[in-house]
Amino acid sequence: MPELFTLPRERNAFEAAVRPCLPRLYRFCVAMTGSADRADDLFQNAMVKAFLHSADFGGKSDLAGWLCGIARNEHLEARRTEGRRNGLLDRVSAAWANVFGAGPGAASAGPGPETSAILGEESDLLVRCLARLPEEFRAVVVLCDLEDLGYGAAAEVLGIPVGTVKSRHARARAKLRAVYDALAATNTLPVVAQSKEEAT
Amino acid sequence: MSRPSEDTRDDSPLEPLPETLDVGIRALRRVNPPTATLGRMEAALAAADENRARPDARNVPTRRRPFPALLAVVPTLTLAALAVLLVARGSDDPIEEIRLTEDLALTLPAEGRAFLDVALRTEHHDDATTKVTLDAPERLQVTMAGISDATGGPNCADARCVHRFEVDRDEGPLRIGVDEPGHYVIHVRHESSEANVHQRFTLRVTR
Repeated sequence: MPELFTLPRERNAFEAAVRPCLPRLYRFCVAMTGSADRADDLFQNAMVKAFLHSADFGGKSDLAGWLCGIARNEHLEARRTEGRRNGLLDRVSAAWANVFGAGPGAASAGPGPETSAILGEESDLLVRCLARLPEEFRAVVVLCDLEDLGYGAAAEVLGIPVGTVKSRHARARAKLRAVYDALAATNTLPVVAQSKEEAT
Repeated sequence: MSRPSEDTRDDSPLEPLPETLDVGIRALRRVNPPTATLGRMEAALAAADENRARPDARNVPTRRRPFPALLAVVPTLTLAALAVLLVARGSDDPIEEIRLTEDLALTLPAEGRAFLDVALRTEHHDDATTKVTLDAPERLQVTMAGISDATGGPNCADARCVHRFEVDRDEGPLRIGVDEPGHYVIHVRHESSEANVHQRFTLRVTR
């Protein structure tokens, strides 16, 4: 029986083992967060968690997929934390901010010049469209279309049945198209992108 | 863009993507993590490794909660505020992710260097010392109240440098020396068992 690949616990060996997967993990983080700044944080957090839980990787699944799964859970957890803070504390913070000035909650990181510089215009548009999709659809598009994972592998990352991935993928594609058309209708696409579309 | 090749027995047709988005997908596949991002990741892994090696690393007491007896005597309004804070933190969410952004401006003298002091928000940590990872343009001189880099010097690549410090909670401010006008972005990350704090400073320097 072939021996399963396991992740080393020693840091240098761990880094060497995961290094080939880092571009995929980083792209996943960018596509999920829509911002280079947030992607950077997510990337780091996912890697630290993967390092601390390297023993959990049993070698049965694709390593990059396993890392993306960790990043996705971290992303959801960060959003839940942010949502709790925004929902419950915003009113208190706003009142206090009037007295003490802007607090920690004032931080925001939408797509900005840094993100555009890293991605380039073509990817920037894609990321903008993805950012307008609900997270469950965005994740499927990123895994199936960007990372070209099979439905089985995507289902493993997302922890949902294969059939759900398939149907969600079809709906996600339709939503992505609708988002793109809506952007085009409001003339917010880059000039280059619009002229390309008109030509096709 | 074709559908995934594995397990594809679904009959529902996939909406074809606009050519522009297809191009975007191909372009995004070519994106790699920036060197500075990799540097920060390596520093974060090193910090996690050191924390893991410390025998008492996971036994750090959690953030102090108010004594229940106190609840009987505080005014109703304060009770409500405390409840909001506790719910927001969540008892199952011991490590808080905090992101802070600050825009700074500095005017250089007619000749020479100017310095700017920025405060690290270490009050989010209960630990006596905090590991700090700082990523800044190479052109900036970064010092932390006389503390030298824990690694013996910054790790520089692509015109940016990653510094690592270990600072006491009440340590003096971060001091940034600037020689030239420009627009600089500085990332500072400090972590403890209480919180992961990411401070992002945008510094606009004019003469």
